[in-house]
Amino acid sequence: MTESQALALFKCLGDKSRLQILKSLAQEDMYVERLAERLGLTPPTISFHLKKLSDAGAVRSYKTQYYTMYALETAVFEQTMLSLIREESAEADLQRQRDEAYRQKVIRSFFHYGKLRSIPTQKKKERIVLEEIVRAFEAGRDYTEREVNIILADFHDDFCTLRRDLIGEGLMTRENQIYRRTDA
Amino acid sequence: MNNFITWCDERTRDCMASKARLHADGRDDEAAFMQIRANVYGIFRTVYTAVKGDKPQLQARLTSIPAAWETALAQAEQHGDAQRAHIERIKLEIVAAIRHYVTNAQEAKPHD
Repeated sequence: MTESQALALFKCLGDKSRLQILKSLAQEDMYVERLAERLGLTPPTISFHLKKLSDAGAVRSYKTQYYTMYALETAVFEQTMLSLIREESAEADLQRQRDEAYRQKVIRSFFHYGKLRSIPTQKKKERIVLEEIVRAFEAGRDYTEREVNIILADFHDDFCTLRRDLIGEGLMTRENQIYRRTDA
Repeated sequence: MNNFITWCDERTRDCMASKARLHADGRDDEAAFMQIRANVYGIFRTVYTAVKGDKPQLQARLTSIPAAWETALAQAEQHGDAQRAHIERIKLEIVAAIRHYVTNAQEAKPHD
């Protein structure tokens, strides 16, 4: 289900009459007049709601000998809320572009000809800076602490803080004095 | 016919009360339909005032104004636009009720 389909469905469900129609259809398939009688609404009002529900993909209709029957589109309701929320958004590309623009802005602010001007105090900015620094390490290669210090000292004099924060942020691992980049 | 304004006001008040009740009950579309009904009463109340209570003029407007709604209904049905069709039917249903009231009031005139 796309984001716009989910939006249409949620908008459609935000009405008590339509929810009552769905509850009735969850019991059994019904025709307009039967729903009207059951819910105390006029047949045109029921038809109006059924059209909206049908457009939102919540119900489907089929013809029998005498009536047009309406049935719940069960597949739609078997989806979890979580799966709908996790659905890729049309906004996602835009969000990624905004995130990348912000990232580049932080990098431009804190790096000057490859040197770190200062270690950001804001956690979010420090994470971006550390992600940039960790690129100086080869993926899958083991480094001694001395090698790590030398590489980090090229960025900033306070290489101890950088080293500690790279571990803290999970960008590098340390085991038996051997360092390794984690995002390989 | 002197009571036409009072009658329209009463219908409008009923519609607005129903609208509030439906809205509170989470039936927003039906609440909107009640507002549409109230609006139609409002239109012909205004027309009645504009024609200074002249019944033939009011009856002429009761034919001319809904003509556009009948066209809209026909177009909506033609294009399978059930939502628009339903709204136009509601408006025409109220026009029919007003027309019925006006006709009866006219017939009752000699006895006034």
